[in-house]
Amino acid sequence: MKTIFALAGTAIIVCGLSAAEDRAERVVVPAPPGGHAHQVKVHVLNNSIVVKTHTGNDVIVETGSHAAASPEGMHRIDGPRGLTIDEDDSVIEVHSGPFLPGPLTITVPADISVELHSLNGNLSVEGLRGEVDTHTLNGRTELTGISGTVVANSLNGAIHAVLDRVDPSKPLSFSSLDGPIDVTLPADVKANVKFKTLRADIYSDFEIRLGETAAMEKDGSSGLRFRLRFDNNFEGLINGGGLLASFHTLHGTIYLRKKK
Amino acid sequence: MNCENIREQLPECLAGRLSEGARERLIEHLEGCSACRAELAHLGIVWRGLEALKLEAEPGAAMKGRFQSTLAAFETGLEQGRLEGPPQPARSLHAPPRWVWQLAAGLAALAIGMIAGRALAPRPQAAPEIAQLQGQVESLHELVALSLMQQQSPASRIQGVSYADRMTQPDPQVEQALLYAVSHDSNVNVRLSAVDALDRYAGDPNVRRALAAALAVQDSPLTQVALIDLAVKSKDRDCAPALRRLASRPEADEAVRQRAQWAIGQLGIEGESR
Repeated sequence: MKTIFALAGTAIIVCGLSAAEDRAERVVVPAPPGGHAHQVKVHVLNNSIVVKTHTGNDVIVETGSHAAASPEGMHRIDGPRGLTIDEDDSVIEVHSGPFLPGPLTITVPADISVELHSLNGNLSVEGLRGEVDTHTLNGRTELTGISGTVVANSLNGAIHAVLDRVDPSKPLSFSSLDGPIDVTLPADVKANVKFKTLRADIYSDFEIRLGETAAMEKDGSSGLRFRLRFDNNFEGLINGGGLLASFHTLHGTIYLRKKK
Repeated sequence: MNCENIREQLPECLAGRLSEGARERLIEHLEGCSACRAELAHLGIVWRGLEALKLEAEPGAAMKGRFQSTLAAFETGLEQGRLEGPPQPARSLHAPPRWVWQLAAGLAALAIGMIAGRALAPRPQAAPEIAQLQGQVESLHELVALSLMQQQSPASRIQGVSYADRMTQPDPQVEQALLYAVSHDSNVNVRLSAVDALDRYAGDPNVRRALAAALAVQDSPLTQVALIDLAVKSKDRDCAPALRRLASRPEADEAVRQRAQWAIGQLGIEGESR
């Protein structure tokens, strides 16, 4: 059962309600009976993606402001141009063409999982409890208030993630070529951490029990308690070990912070 | 008192062991009976002869010594007999009887047998069980790894790869799944973890060929570098052509080209023909 929303008049639910005021487009994808969608996938080229949570079960997709103002006394009746929304078996896929204006704001139930790909836009997710899977080429990834799991990759963009809680049964994975990776984990997290970099520095204020491959030294300059320096990979344990958390970079500095 | 009674008492009288009254009655009878006086006279002669004989038969010192030593020997023998024979029931009251020791020895032997049985016998019996359990855990890891690597969510696929990494025995199916993930997984982080997990398979020539092929088609710079590092670590010279191509490919990331060049130097494959 595949339903295709949006585009030239085929939209089933398009609510351009407040369009007259702020010229933004808004599409509500109603929740399937008895629950909400399992995952939202958003693949865009240059748009930034902002994911927010709400208490409802619907998924709401909003585009940026439309450039042209509606004529006096009228409002737009067509949908957002270049936006495609597919819904198939509780997975909602959102794609955009290259000319879609502004950031794409997706409002989802907190338990949903998201897959966000943007080549040049920034990604931002707040307060999600499901799985967060992100990929950018040059955009910045900003994840806050996450209590699920994160698999984040960027080529050149920075990755910044703050996890309020972790799912001990799911791994955390961060990778970037040149962008810094800055991850904050709960102070009591039990994790097996795995770092692999080419030439980057790694900083942490966690006490990490290291394998034989690296040495930990005190360092005051970065504002964190310890500094690690090596030119290959190493593994260590935080609070005795537990979930797998891996960090791969070539040149991006890695910060692993303890949530205060 | 008749003569018969008196004649019975005559020896006693001669021996001087008659009571005063009996002796007076005997004398009265003797005064009136000539037959009994004759008897007494005869007895008197015998008695006096006996007295003479008794003196001669008096035991000498040597005989007395022999007697005493014989008596002592008899008494010692009697004493020994008392120690060996009768003491048995007495011992049962104070010290454990022999059957207690026998029972204890029997129980001790049983206990030693059980301990030895537990210590020695279980090994050959339990070893296959443990091996079987380990095999089951292993195949469970394999199953979980393979099924998780099929999952939609990249976190689950990474979890699957980490299960594969935890397997103690290399497995061809898992190896194939990891190789597939390196080349075809849509998520870079899954590919990276698969490269890490393939570390231990890198000795296999098939894996080396597959890794060289993966390096040739890999589009993620991070994964390219991870594959280059794996090739260097496992001294995989099969990667030489792929490394050279990568090192001279203008569209490759500069860090990747540098790393490939570094790997060529590390593996000592610079001078080889292309």
